[in-house]
Amino acid sequence: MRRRRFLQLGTAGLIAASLPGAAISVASQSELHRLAEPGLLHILRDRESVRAIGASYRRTVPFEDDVHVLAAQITGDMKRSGGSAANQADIEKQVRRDFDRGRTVQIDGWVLSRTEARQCALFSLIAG
Amino acid sequence: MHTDARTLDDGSVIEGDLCIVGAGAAGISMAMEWIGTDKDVVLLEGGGFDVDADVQSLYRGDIVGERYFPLEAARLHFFGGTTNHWAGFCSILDPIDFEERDWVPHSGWPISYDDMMAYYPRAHEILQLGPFEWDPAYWAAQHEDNALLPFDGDIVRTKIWQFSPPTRFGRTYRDEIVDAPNIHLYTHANVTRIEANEPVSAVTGLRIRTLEGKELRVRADAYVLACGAIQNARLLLASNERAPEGLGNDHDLVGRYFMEHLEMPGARLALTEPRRMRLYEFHYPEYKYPAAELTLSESAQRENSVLNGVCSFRDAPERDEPLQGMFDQIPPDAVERLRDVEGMDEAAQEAANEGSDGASLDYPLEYQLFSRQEQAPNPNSRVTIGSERDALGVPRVQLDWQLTELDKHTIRRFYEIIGHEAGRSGVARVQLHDWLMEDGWPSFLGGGWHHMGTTRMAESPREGVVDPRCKVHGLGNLYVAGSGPFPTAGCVNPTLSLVALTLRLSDHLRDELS
Repeated sequence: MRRRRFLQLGTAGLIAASLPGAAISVASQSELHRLAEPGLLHILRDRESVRAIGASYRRTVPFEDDVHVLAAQITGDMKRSGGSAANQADIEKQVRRDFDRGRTVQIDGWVLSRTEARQCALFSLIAG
Repeated sequence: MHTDARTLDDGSVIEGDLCIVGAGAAGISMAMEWIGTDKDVVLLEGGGFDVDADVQSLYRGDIVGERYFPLEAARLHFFGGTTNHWAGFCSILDPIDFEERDWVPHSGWPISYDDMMAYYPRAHEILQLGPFEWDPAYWAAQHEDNALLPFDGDIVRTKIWQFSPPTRFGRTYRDEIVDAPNIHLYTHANVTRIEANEPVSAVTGLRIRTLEGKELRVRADAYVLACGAIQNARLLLASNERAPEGLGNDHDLVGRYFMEHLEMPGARLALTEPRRMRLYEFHYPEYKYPAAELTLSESAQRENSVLNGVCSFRDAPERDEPLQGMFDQIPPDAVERLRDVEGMDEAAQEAANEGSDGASLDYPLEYQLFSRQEQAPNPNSRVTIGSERDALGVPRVQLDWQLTELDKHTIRRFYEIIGHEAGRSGVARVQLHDWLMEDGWPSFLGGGWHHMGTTRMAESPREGVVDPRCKVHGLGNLYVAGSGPFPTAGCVNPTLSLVALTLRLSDHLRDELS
């Protein structure tokens, strides 16, 4: 029930309303929409938890505490794997690939793929 | 045949071929094996057929190490022993549990997995379990909703549990024991001392006292201690008339290597999508369907230098709900509540009568992962006797339960690996609880009420109290049954394995006494 309600509310509008224009130079706005909507939102059904995870990631990796850097890191990894940030299925594949290759991080105790942790960080910056 | 020892004349001598001390799961299992043989078996039980606070208080002791359950509540002291209120969880040890693992000091059994497997089917019958099937694939095929989680079996695998009804040995086997002409059950007969000959090479008899003050003696050709790991060690240590450090204790090993299973919440698991988890759900309180837990493969244990362990799926608490400690939840009247065995069984029966097929109606999206983990064998984790004595004059025990860094490393690494595999498979995400990242042990550290070690089994008397046949090193006719001889604890509740090991000992004694 809680999940269904969350999904009905959606997140895209919120993100679009708060996008910094500079981000568009790194990734298109639609790409940023996708990148800033981590799958973890649908798993945890709790925006605050995801935002907190994102904030913790930014504290853990201060170099990436920036929308441009985060987006560039994610899209860079995806390009190297032959994927595109414009494609939601590719993002999901990248997350799986991270787990396969051991590219994981532990944030607030959560065992996450590096990509989805960065997505949480983006979410915390953009939708926060 | 049954005799209340309180009705015997003071100074009476009881004689038999075999004497079994203790009528719990081990003692009764062994006695049953001897029904109809040409041997007279003396079965001694310190209590009667029901719980008695005065008898129960004989088990009181001090906790001097990690916090633990009150000892007078941790074991039941009447016919049937602790099976009078156990929950019936059963599973088998894994092959790796028997190996000497170079990352686990003091590991390795002197008997093999196959040695134990030979006795598990008989133990299954005694515990009234289902088919002797432990392959998860078998159970997955029994119901359309029993799908296994799609984890890489080389890393994380499913381990099966079966549930005894649970067999209350005191009720289930009482008539068979009492009606057997060659089994002589004495209740209210507490052993206070084991007597040895002058070179301390054999036991010559047992001294018994009743709470009413009568003193009795038992003489037999062979003696089996089956009082539980703590009480067995206590009796050996207290029997120091001819051996100042206690019987079987030439190498200061009696009471050491006390082991429990570490039971506590370790992580939260959030499914990526609703999933039928029927096989992984425990259907309390009926427990009539097999259930599954997650464990690390043997190769993953080797690769990560961790102990064995499992985790079960439990209802997830609210995210901000503080974790509660098992030892904090013990009511002050815990001993009195032991009387509520009938109520517990009635609740289980009512649930069973509702006709549920084990399928829950909803599909939880979150679970708490709850650990049951092997404790590393640790010589400093031990049972000793103190200066205070019980009502029968036997020194009370002190339990110094101690854990090691390997225990903590294991539980942390366990959940990291489960977290990786849950993510890799796309099944879920896992959040380790904060305490796993901190030093030390949390206040909610818990145990499984499982007592193992204290009379560990080894080929050499320098490494163990009993030999691979469970005979006390150096004493020709004294044996130990139960989970005290376990050199390592594995990650499964010990009852099934301790019954199997007891049956093995029984077969050996048949050869010895024939």
